[in-house]
Parts: sequence; structure tokens; C-alpha cells
Amino acid sequence: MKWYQSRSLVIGAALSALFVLAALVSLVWTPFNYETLDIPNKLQRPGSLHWFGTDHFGRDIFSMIMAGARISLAVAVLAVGIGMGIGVPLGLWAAARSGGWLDEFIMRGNDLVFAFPSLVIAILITATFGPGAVNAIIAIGIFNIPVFARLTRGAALGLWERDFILAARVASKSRLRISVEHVLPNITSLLIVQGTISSALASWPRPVSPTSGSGRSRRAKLGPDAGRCADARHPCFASGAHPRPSHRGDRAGPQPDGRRLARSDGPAHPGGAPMTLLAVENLSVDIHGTPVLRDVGLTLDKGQIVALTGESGSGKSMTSLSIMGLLPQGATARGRVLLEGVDLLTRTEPQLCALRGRAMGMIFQEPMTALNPVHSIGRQVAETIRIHTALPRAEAREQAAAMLDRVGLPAHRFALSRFPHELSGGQRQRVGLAMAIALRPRLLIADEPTTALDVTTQAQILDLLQGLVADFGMGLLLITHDLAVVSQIADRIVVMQKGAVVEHGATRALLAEQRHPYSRMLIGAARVG
Amino acid sequence: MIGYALRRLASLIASLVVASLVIFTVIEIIPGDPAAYMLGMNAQPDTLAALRAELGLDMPKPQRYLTWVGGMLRGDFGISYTYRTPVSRMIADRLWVSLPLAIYALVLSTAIAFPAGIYAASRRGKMADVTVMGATQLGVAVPNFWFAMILVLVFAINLGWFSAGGFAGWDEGYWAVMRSLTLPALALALPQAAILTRVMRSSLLDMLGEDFIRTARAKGLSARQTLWRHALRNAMIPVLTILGLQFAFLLAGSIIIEQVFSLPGLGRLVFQAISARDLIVVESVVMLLVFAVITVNFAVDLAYALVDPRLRARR
Repeated sequence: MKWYQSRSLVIGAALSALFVLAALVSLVWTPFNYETLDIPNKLQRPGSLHWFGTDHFGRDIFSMIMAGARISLAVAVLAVGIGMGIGVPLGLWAAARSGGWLDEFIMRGNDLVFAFPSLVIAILITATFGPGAVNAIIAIGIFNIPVFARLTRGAALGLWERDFILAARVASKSRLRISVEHVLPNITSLLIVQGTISSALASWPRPVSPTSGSGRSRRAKLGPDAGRCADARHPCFASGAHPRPSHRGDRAGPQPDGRRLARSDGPAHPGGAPMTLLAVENLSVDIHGTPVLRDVGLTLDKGQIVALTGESGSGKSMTSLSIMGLLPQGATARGRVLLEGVDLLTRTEPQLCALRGRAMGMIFQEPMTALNPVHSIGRQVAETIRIHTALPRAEAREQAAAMLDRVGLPAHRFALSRFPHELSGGQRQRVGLAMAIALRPRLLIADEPTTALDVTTQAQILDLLQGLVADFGMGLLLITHDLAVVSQIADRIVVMQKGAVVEHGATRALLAEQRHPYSRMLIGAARVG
Repeated sequence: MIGYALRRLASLIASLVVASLVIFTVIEIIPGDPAAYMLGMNAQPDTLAALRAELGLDMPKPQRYLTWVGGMLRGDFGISYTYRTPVSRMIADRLWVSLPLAIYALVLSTAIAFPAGIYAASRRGKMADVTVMGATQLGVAVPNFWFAMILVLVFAINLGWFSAGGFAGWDEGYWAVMRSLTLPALALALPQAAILTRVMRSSLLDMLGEDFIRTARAKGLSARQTLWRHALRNAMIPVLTILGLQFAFLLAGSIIIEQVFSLPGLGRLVFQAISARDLIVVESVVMLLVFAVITVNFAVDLAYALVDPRLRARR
């Protein structure tokens, strides 16, 4: 929670309270009778007697505002009440019976009601049945029903796919019970947001979109620190020991992303043996002051596969993100991450951009979401090439096709123009791999690359990884909690627990004998299971 | 893609049929006989009957519905009860004001909202973001007629750059039309731009949290490049939805702005027609507006499919 968020809450609450207070007080007292005409005193300026002045009939404007607040408040609350009271159950029902006639009916009805200009209808209703707050409330309330029905349905539909709902369905709870007990509580916050916006707009009919208030404030995994990493094509990394200041980020203090990159003052350590590709030394990471990694160390040689293993939350992924320089906002890294002897933690953001994708590539756990759904696979693989080299588009596509072929997606069966949604999870993971290795990086980081795949596909992807390491002479840092994977292809194993490395060694030796009780437990558990 | 378009087209026609039925029924329910209204309190029964026959009010309801719909398909909207002129010509005159105004306002709103939303998203949590969000909060909260009055005060009365009201007419040339429409378009656009900015920002931020953004960063794209090349296009779907809704609103909902600037637009036409019980005009204008909204939504649906390949393949 940032300071201004809570401050806006305070301001908002104060203003709302003022508004409600004015409405309530007006029931028993206003400075003047707001209906009393006082023509001689018309159009007065604000003063000590008439705080906001008077209108052209001499009525006290402040009193009229207080009384008006009462009506606005009633219209807002009741109209939104009608909308929510009818719309939310309809939306829940439609989501529970998704695809059924009711669902279809609600959605089409919705389109229709949206199609009618609400202000025109409101005028029509008042013209027909006479003006008055009650008619206004009914008119606005009716137009709020589809807004809430649609919003509720949309949010609830997503939930019906979730595991905890599936679990409830397996436990053969009725759809009604699931809707009330599981779906409704999970969409309350969304409804509150829309409810407030609708109330605010209720006395002023204008189209309230179902999405305008649904700002799902999911925290971005990456800070949108646009503009910092200016031109990634400059291989500024090559400029050696004197990092060129980034042309925008050359201010003192925090580095891009709000990350403070500090160099440890620990024992001077030589930049690693000549064969060492990656050396992580005393890496500690804090996120908003909470330590997540403590003195992590590991090394990786060219052509070697090192498995980083441990239970979830042990810091495996955080270690890999530190190497890539893609830590979340608010994270601080200390220690050294040496890629071929160069400390990545001291690189500026543009320098890191030049390294990512060229010197080091990474693939992620979720192939289903790791690719951009609106770009073709050829374009996404070629992008890695185009961003780092000056190759023309056609040549980049050719290289992309070759790389896709290498990962098992030959162009005659998987055209470059295909989109991710046309591929299976295993095929998408191959695309992700082609993107990561398109420029033959020296280091490949694979974060749980097979976890989301079925067993047969897992074996194929592991085979592919092993073949690529042998062909390209890459170093592979394989992050996995799956010891079966580890024992098959890793040369060395590093075991992490609670943000620290507890044991490391050659695969065979470590699997045969564990010194640390946690490793024993981890490997024992894998054997039983 | 073709199949998708055809399905949407079928749905569009079905919606139009249902909408026309609803409008016809509502107008039927509304109390008051237009013929009686036109002739006043002391009309003779036989005069009344003659007028009812002339207006076609004595036909059975299904036949009247079909006559109305059939006429509209041929561009014949009937004769106004009060003005005794063809409704189609009345609507056409007003449309030449309302349509340019709506398009002008939409262009302004987009021109303000896109840069502001993208800028706020790229500076999330920073001072610039907070400032933009504060401004949009104000834009959503302040009614557009207030903006209108302030704009008139500053740009028409004090600076004299634009006209304070009235419509010059197309015969006077583009510049005269621009002078008449700029302030109303701006007043309409500001609140719309505020909403659009918020949608743009929140949609972009949602997208920036997606896995494929991290993948793009791992490829070596800078944060700015990922925003422009990967997040923006994916973020367009909700933005397009709002744009469609806003256009529909701008076409029909500018009654108050038209009043403030005394513009002879559709909104004022329907307002006057409702007050005068000129139900055939109300019926036709509402149908036309519904038609516009449904058509715009159809166009938006097609635009979705252009933006998102997944929709092209769906069902």
C-alpha cells in the first residue's frame, strides 16, 4: 500500500461523509427553506448570510444543495440497489448455467439494453409517467441491472474454471450453493467498485461500462519502468569495465526499476576459473526489506547442466530472476552474479537488455501464458533476433524458421504464421525455447520447463534440452522440484531451502548420500512418491 | 474470420428485430392518442376518426408494426404528427449536426485518452501517474455541461476563438462548422476521455502483469519496448469496447450539450418530440439510435477479431 492510496481513501471517505451528513442534516435543518422564494434578494453573491448566494428566484443555493444531496443520495443508493439486487443473482445464475438458454438470454438482453440510449429512455419514462424521484430511480435502476448482471457473469465465469470450484463440484455441491458460497465472496470487491461508480453516476445517466470500474489491480510482475532501457541494440556490454551511463537513468541513487544494485564488500574473489560460465556469489535479495535469498552461491560451467532444486518458495525462481536482472519492483540484490567474469549486478538496465536474449536466455514454467497470444510464433522467435541484430526482417524469419525446426517444429508442419493458441502446451514450450536460444546464448535458464506438461511431453522436452546443451555448448541452469528430472540429465545438483543453498554436489554422489537432513528428506520423499 | 463475421451479422439482425418490437410495444403502451393530441380537446369524433385513418392508427397492431418496419427499410419513416413533414428529412437534417459532433468528440477523446493512459501506465505509482489519475477522477466526477459552460466562458466569451452557441450550417464552410462544433465536442470529450484513460491504463497494467511480458523482457526487450510491442495490442480489447459504447452515447446522449450550445441535433429532436407527443418521431429516432449502437458494436466485434487471432477461430 502506497502512501497516496491510503490518503485518497481518507479524502474520499471524508468527502462522502460530508455529502451524507449534508443530506441527513437537511432532513431536520437547512439554513433557509429551500423552496421559499425571495425575489428582492435574487442572484446574490456568496456571503455570510447566503453561503453560496441565491438563485434568480432568491432561493438560498446552499440550502438547495443540501436538500438536493438527499435526493441524489436516495436515487444513487436505491437505483444501484435495484441494479445489484436483480443483476447480481441473474449474473451468478447465468455463469452457473454457462452456455444455457438463460446465459444466452441475459447476454443478448444486455446488448439490447445497452443499445437503448439511457438518457432518452429516462426522459421517455418521466414524460410518460410524470417526473419525480421514484420514476427516476426505477428508470436508472432498470438500466443498472444489465450492468451488474454482465459484470457478475464475466467475473463468475472465470471462477467456475478454477480448481477450488472444481473441487466443490466434485464434492457434488449444488450449483446454487457453489454460487453463493464460493463464487460470490470472490467477486465482492469487483461488485463494490462497480457499485460505487454506478452510484456516483446514477444521478447523472451516462453509459457505465462493465469494465470501466473493474480495474483488477493485480500487481504487475515487472515494473512498467518504460523508457529506462533505451536502445537494447547497443551492445554496451562490450564497452567493458566502464559502464556507459544510460542516457536517462544516469541519476544517482536507485537504479532502474527502483532496484538498488549494490556490490558486496565481501571477500575479494577472483572472477572464477576460466571455464566457469556463471558464478553466483553471496547473493542476497530483499523484497521491501524482507529477505528472500541469503548468501546463495553456485557455479555453472560451459556445456554443463546444473539443477537447482528445493520445495516451492525455497528461492529457486528468485535466484534465476536475479541472474536475469528481472527481479520484481522493490527488490534489492547484494553479492555478485558473474557471467563470464562480468558482474551482472553492476550492469545498467540498457546493458542488461543487451545481454538478455543474446548472452543468456530463459524459458518459463507456463507455456500456455508465456507467449503473446496476438503475435504469430514466427514473429515472436524472429523478434529475439531482430532486437539484438541488424538483420533484415526476411533473414530474421529464416533464422527463426531454422531455430523452430531445431526445436522440433518444422516449418512444413508448423507454419511461422501460426498463433500460440493453435499449438499444444508442449509445442508452445518448444516455441519458448526457440525464442530463448535463437541467438545461441551461452547461458540458458529453464524455470520448471516441464512441470506444466504431461509425462511423455516432459521426456521429449528434456531430451531436446540435453541435445541443445551438447550441440551449442551452452550452460543450462535447470530449476525444478522434480528429482526424477534432475537425476536424468543434471551433472550437478544444488539444493535450496528457505532462500539458502543447503547442499550441492555431483548428481550421482548427492543422490547416493546426502549430508544435509533437508536433502535427505527431499530425496527420501521423491523415492517414496 | 468469415464465419465469425456471418455469425455476428445474424446476431445483429436478430437484435434489430427484437429492438424494433420492444420500441413499438413501448410506444403502444404510452398513454395518449396522437390524433387526439393533435386536434386538441374539442375535436369532433368524425374528424378524429378521419385523422386516425390518415395516420394509419386504425389498422390492427401487427399490420401497423409491419408497415412501420417496411417503411423504414425503404427509408420512409412516416410523417411527423406535429410538423407534418417527412420524419426522414427531419432526422437527416439533425444527423448532419449530431454525427459530425459525435465523431469530432470521439476523435478528441481518443487523442487525449490514448497518450494519457499509456503515459500513466508506464509511470505507474509515480507522481505523473497519480496526477493523471487525479485529473481523470475529476473528469469523471464533473458533469459535461459544467465543462461546457467553463469552455464557453473562456474560449467564446473571453477569447472569442469559437462561437458560444448555435450551428452555422454546412453552407457556411468547414471553418464555420468547426467554430460551432469545437467547444461542444470538447465538452463532450473531456468526461469520455477521463473514462477512456482509466480503462486504457488499467487494461495496460493488467497486460504488463502477464507472463508473456516477462518472456519478452527475457528476450532483451526494454520495458518501453514490451509496453508498445506486446502489451498495447492485447490491452486494446476493453478499450475498443468502451470506444464503441462511447460513440453510441455521443450520438444520442448529447441532449444537454446540444441544449447548452443550442445545436439542432438528434438529442434535442427526440426531447422536443417526446414533449409534443410526436410519437412517430420518437419511435423512429430511438430505432435509428439503437440501429447505430448495434452497428457500432458489430464493427467493434469485427475489430476484436482483427486484434486477437483467438477470436477468429472461436466457434
